[in-house]
Amino acid sequence: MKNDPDVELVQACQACEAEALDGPFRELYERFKDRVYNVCYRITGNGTDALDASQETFGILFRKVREFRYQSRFSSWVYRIAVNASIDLKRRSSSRKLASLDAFREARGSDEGVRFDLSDESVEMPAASASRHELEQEIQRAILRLSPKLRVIIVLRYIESLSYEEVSETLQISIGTVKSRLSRAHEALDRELTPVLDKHYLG
Amino acid sequence: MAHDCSSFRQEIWPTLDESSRAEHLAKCEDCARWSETWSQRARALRSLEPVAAPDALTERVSAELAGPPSRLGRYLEALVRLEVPEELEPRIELEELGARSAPFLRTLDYHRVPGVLERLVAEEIADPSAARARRFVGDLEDVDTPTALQGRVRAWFIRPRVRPGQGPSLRRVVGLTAAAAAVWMLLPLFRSEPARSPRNFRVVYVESAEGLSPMARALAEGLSGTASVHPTLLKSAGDR
Repeated sequence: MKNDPDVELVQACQACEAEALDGPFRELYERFKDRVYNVCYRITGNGTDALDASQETFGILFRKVREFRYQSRFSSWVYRIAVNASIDLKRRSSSRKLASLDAFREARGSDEGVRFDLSDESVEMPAASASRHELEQEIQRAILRLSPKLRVIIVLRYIESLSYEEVSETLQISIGTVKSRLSRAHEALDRELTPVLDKHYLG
Repeated sequence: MAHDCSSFRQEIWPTLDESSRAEHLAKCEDCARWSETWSQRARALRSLEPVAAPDALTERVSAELAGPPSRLGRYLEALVRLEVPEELEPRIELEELGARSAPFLRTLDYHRVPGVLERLVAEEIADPSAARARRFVGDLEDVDTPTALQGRVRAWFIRPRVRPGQGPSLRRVVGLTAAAAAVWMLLPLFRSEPARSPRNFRVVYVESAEGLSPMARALAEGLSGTASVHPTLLKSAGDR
């Protein structure tokens, strides 16, 4: 695959056996960890599942990197593994609490009670912060209400900003299918998002 | 919605350049409204904060590369998810510990009965009391040194030492020992040599065992079971 910025790093990984998270594997991990986690988080909808799916993604990645044959961009391959791991995990565990179980587990050992992972919003006024956080959660819930196929294509196209070609490579579907699926995703998401955006005076 | 608009939205719109898109939107109010709405939706989606991978992911991936997760680890992880009662956790750990130990225990050598056991059992049967006494001799209690003995030892150490001149001197002891040795060495010279009786052997050839003396025949039979041994030796033995 031409113009793949990851080729050299992938070749370095293929030349050595993954036994620890160092050397080229460490570099590969650092390069992809946020993208992988973000995709997993948006598809699964919670931190615990995202963590599991990301771990599984990197496990597969490091075990199978030698089998990568450069028939697509390496990043498309990584996204494909992450998408499949997230959908599989979501399928296996249909009902799950939104609160992070990790936070619950940590809190169980202390007296702090349940803590939720909130991003740093100290620059915002509390009300604006709460409103923005609420909006974000509602958008996330709207995404989760889509079918897995439509959810994945929305995440890849609008959250990860992949091109049509990259989406096609990642999902191993034709460009035409990407377009028609995106069109259906638009309609479905429009139905889900309109009330949310209207509520926040953004409609 | 016109067919070309549907095509515009599904097929062309996302891939069209800005000027071509603007040209169509200027002509079609429906598509312009649709485009505006969808741009808003897309902005909302893109406004989602990117979620950074937590440190826990690095730890987990490192652990995964270091080796596959243990079965116990997977069980405990599953327990947390199922929110089972906490009491179950130690029981699962014990079960797992047992399951994990069993294969190692099976590899231990099968020890055969040592040869000495047979002798010990025979001794036990032959003389139970003696065997028991030998067996339990090691279990006898350690007896403390009696106070009287300690007193005696102390008295021995503090008794007055023999002053020089009072006890036998070393020179006198050496002189007596040398004299005794000289006597012992010279004594054989004064003894008379006893007369030794000459031993004579006579060779007698016999044709059959009947020719042997009764004592020689008994000896021959005792040695060989029959008296058909070499007659020369038998005769010789019988004549002595």
